[in-house]
Amino acid sequence: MKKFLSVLLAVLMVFSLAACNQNNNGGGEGGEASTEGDPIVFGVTTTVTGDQAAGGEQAVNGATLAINEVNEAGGIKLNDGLYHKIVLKVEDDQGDKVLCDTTVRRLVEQEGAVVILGPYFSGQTIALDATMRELGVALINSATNVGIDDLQNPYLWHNRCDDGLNGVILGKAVVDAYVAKNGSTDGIKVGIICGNDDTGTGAATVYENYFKENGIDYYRDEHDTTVDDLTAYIQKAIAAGCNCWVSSCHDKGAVAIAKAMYEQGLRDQIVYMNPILAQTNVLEMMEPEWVEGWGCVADYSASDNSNPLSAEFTKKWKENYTVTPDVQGALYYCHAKLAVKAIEDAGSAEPQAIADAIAKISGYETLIGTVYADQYSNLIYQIGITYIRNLVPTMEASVSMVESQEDVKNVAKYH
Amino acid sequence: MSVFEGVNWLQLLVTAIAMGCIYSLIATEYTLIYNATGLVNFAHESFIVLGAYIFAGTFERALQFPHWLAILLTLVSMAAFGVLVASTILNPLRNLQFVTYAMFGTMMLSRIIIEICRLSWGSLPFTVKGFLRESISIGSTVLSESYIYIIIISVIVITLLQLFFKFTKAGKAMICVSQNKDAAALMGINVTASINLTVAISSVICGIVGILCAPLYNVSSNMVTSAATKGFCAGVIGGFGSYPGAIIGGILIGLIEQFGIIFIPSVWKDALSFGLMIIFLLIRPGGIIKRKKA
Repeated sequence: MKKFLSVLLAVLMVFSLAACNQNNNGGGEGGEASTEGDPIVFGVTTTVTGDQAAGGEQAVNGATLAINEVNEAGGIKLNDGLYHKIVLKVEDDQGDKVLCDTTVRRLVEQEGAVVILGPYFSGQTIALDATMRELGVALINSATNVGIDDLQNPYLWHNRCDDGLNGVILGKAVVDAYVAKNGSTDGIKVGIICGNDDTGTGAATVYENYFKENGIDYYRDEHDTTVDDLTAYIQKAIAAGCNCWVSSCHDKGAVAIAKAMYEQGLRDQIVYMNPILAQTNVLEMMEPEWVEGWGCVADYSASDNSNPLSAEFTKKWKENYTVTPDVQGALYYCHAKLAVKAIEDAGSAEPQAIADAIAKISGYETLIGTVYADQYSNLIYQIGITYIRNLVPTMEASVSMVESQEDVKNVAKYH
Repeated sequence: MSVFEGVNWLQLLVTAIAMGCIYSLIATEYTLIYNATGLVNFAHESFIVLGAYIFAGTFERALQFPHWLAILLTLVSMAAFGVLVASTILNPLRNLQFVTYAMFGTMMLSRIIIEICRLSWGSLPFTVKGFLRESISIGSTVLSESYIYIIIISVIVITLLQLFFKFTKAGKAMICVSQNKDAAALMGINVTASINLTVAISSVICGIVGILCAPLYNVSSNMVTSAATKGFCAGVIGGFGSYPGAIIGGILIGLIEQFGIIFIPSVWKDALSFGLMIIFLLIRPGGIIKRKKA
């Protein structure tokens, strides 16, 4: 009896093993092989909390929207013949340079991110120079400081017109607006009013160089970015005879400048700012009369229906989120799309292959402009001129400094 | 054209006095708690932020109460908060053997309050639209409504505080407690209750500063970091523990920083206040008005 039972058990085990083996092979000869590969991880490091949390929320929403589109279409097909879906991992760096280094390392080393989207600030991006070289992972963000180019880091890419180009575009815009109002540049004195951080001082130097080159009288003064009361600062600029203005600062600075200028009776002024002016959270802190008619460069405007890609993005965003889309949302949507494009081009999700593929992108259309990668850092050379009408950014023109890959080297002097 | 010819000195003066008033109120609030407990309350910045959030975040934005009711309820809430903090934290802390530990306690309290604000009202800065954001033109001078209100309300608060100390039993008891707690207790003054009242008044002043700063800075967790530090400087420059000193110190800093940056680059604005404090610490550590010892 014992012998019979042991033979029966042995037969049952053989059948069980065979059945297990069949399951592992996807159902055996009659089963269908899976076409889905391991997910690809994108890492976002941004300001989920802190003063710039609104921008961080936009960034995460924008990247998520782009990734959902890709996943709903089945994922990215790689050289292994499989379709890979994308998983987004988000880390909060609170806008801090030191913390950002930790969040990027965590995303790459623990979460397995093959590309980093973010961080929010230029200063953070510059601080990541050595880390990104060490990790060998590409980073795409909206930083605009021209100092990023000087690093000559093949892993740092800003998918946005940098301050060098913005400065030239804004400098020209303010002079053109003055001439349109007064007939000539006689009597012009442009006030360059910027914050004293990386963004502000970098942009102020670009403005200064542009006005020097073009023989335009100017006054330059920087303010402490932690100071909210800029009355005396603006008083000093008025006393210096400024009659039109350019500025590059962060959100609190933009609000403080607008408030101080309004309170000191500066109405109907020619003022041009960096893209911060078009951000929803900044405009929400202002009164309409403070900034009516002010201009800025902006990569995106929710009210712009002239660009089909932009209009389509706005529509999709509104279907998914209740918060109004702004520049950062649009930018991070584009950053994620660009990373997908690089992976598709490379046919691989290996970090180095992705970095190499980004450097080769040329003529890729996005809602913020056409991407032409240069040797280091720059991808976009196009931006819209937007005017604030009753606290709504309205895009009224678009300026492109590059029309083909060949033109990229012609604008290198501005970076 | 000389830069001085184009400066609107009246406008600058009003701004300087208004900012000075803010610093004076903050220094007064520091002084109140220092005199009552012997502690420098490093949590006072968070008290101001809390006042601003209660006013702007809850009563103005969420509940949409009229301004006067929102202000009134904020001040009542801050008084209640002051009593709570005094009885549960500051009174026990002042009895610690080492004052340094107690001061660290107030710093930690500050972080807790700021995080509570962040969790309760969100991390995004916001504003109270239409609240003290107009300006008034007098000839070529344009004066901000918020600055005018700051000056008027500061004068009222400081006057009321002086009258309270001089003419009320509770006020006189607070002065006695600030001078000598043991002697005050022997005279039959309830020291703990007096400290609770002092912290409540101090919290109300923080609430007022928070409300007045809301249109100036927008409401955020670090809205008064710079002003709070300068308020501390005002206390040191004026003479720590002295109420008139707090007022003089505040106004002096307001004047020096506003007029100073006409002569030097604007980025040095904060450095002026801090530099002035260091000079005072080196050459006159007791401040402009030295506090009389009991």
